[in-house]
Amino acid sequence: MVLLLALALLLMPSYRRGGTPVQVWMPLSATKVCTPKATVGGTLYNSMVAPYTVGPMALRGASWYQGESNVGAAQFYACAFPAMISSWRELFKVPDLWFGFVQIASFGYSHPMPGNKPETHHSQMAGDLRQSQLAALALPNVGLTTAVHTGDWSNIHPPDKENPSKALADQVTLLLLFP
Amino acid sequence: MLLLFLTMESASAAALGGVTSTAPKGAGWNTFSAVCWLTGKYIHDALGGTVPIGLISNNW
Repeated sequence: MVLLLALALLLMPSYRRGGTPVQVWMPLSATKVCTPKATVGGTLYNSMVAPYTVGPMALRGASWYQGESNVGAAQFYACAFPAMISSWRELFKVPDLWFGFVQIASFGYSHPMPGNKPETHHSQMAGDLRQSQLAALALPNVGLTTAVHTGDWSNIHPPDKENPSKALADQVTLLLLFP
Repeated sequence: MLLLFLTMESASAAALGGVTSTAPKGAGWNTFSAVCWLTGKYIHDALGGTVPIGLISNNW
């Protein structure tokens, strides 16, 4: 048996300089049901995911560690994130594709915000994004873990990789041993 | 007010669970996702090390 595991660990060079929002990792058409409307999307899906969908592809699962670039857009994320999972399952032709994700890490979200918002506003928006990630749990075969307790105040890429990895691996192992 | 901007670094051997790559420099782990690799490693270990695990690191 071969298990293929795709991982979309979306890296941000640093806060405010970029990173990738969820909508670039899914076909733009799959975001159409979401509000507010995404104006750009699909780019990295087209270049980096779609080629793998050219089958046959024995993909068994995917894990996902992203969300930082969508902080401030929780309402959109709660729609687009599960829509992306559904679109991948359809496009890979693996309807029961296991999909595990990591809730975004704790981080010193305290940068000044536009519009004279208090600095805590950003932390609150990060919390809203974590909440919106849970929308994916409405779908079957979705696994959750969190990095909210293993983050780093000064590094949005927290050095602790072991804890989220172990949590996801344990879920996959149990599903494989006790299907 | 303190603003910190950190640059990205390749995953260290420690972050990868103490395993070092034997690949030539420039062809090793580099920016392969540590979470992807570790997840595969832990699954592989838990299944007794007998099941091949294929991994795709897809990130930006």
